[in-house]
Amino acid sequence: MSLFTSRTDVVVSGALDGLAARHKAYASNLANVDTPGFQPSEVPFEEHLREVRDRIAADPASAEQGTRLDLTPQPDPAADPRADGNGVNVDREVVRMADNALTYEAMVSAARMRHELLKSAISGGGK
Amino acid sequence: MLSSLRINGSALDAERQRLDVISENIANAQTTRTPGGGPYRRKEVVFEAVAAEAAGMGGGTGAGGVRVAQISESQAPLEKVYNPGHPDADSQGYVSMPNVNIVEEMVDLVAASRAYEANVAAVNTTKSMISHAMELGRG
Repeated sequence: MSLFTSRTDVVVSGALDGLAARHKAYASNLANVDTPGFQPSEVPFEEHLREVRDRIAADPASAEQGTRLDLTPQPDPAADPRADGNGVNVDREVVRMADNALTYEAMVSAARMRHELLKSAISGGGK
Repeated sequence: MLSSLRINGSALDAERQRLDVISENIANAQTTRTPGGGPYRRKEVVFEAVAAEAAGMGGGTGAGGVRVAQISESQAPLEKVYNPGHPDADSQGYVSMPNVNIVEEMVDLVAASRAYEANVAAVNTTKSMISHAMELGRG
């Protein structure tokens, strides 16, 4: 296991990829709030990421393979179509996009803290 | 992530076009003469989702942004108003008035404004996420 592909690094980078793909799906949902017949999409990645985490816990060498997450947008099961067939709820999309953004920013902080840790280790603890 | 900016940007453009059309409808609610002849007919925008790959947004499937597929004239019947003194009255004294319903237009206006604001919020959220991500490389 190399210095830069520990389980934490793989999971954090996988989370960042997943959250960014989810953000893009929400952006698309909001852009199409008035498109007749449009159905919103979601990117569920947490389940697969959990499996990746468990896989690496069982076999640390597999961390080198990264996450190989499938980030294709899926139809959102909570969609409730209106009269024109459009299933986007603008308030729900705005709120969950804000929520997702906060999670993304928290993940970035986590990745940053990890880098700081590594840097500190590399420089021998001195500044 | 940057493609999200283009996605919501396309929506701002489409909703603005919709607002322009609504304004034109409201302004011409009483217009009995158009350059093409005849009374003004209500205009409608038709929105269509743009596939992510087609718009060159790169990576992944699913919808990208939105575009105005066409601006069409409503074929709903014109309103006939009895006004024999009007210069455009027909032989029975009826004037064909535009098929514009001001109340409908105002409701559309509110919906278009709300969609516009939601997409502005999305652009701001994307900007915040990108600037946070850039901190990863700093220091």
